[in-house]
Amino acid sequence: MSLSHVDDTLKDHVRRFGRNLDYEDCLAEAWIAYLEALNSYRRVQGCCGWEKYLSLCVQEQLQALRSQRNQHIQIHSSLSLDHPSGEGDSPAGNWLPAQSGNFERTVLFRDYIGQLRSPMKEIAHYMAQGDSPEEVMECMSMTPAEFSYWTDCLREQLEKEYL
Amino acid sequence: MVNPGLLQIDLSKWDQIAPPPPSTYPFSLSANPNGYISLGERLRDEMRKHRPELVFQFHAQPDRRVLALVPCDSGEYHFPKGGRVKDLRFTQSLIAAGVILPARYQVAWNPQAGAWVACLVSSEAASPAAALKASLPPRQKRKSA
Repeated sequence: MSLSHVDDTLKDHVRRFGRNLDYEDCLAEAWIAYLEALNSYRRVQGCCGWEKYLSLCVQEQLQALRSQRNQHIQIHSSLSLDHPSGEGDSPAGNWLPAQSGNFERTVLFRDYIGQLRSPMKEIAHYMAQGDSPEEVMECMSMTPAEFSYWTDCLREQLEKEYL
Repeated sequence: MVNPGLLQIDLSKWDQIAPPPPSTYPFSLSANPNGYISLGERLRDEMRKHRPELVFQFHAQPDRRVLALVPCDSGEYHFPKGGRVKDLRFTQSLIAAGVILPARYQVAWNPQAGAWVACLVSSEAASPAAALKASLPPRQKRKSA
């Protein structure tokens, strides 16, 4: 496959999957996906043909870029790349996730977390918002041993308070 | 803390755990995402007891859940000594039939068919697209600069 043919193919994929992302950014990401796909295809060539595999890799790469750009932006914000344009009539509340859990208990729990001593307070905060242990360790620059020690302390404290 | 060395025990009142049952079909065949079809070592040895050459007519049900290898002298499907052959067209047809790779088949000799018959024991997906997604390994995430 000649380079110009590759370039044309990638441009096609970018037009198809890039949607409202920046075209040049998408093209750069598509080339990265192409080079990675070249290296990895021999391990998965029993699953599908090259064209299909390349298309999947580019799609996944652009989806990752979209998720990265959408971080910390709510879906109803005008800055969101997933903003459902053309549906102006529907109220913004329709796009918000359904409310779940108990508001009063959540407030009490947050209040309780705020009274913990450091670094248990931060660990509890990160874990309550759904971060994985690996992400918490990375955020707090902790070793697994330190993390394990402090989560044990936190568990002990919670058991003392609530059981 | 209980010291296991000092525990007073009466084994006659305990449950005795039996060893795990042996596999009913010790012979297997697998198809991998890299396009290789492999005969298990024990299956290969058993096949060679009857014929030294691993030459077959290879048949597959349209849904790829059951395969049959008919030993013959002038078959078209030839496994090399290692029992491993690369056949992208076949492995891709498994995905098209909704079989997730790597796929594992249990094999037994079927005297009525005069063939080694293989039945799928690994996972299946609802659609070819789902099978393809499940068969591809997850791509590694790059760290953003």
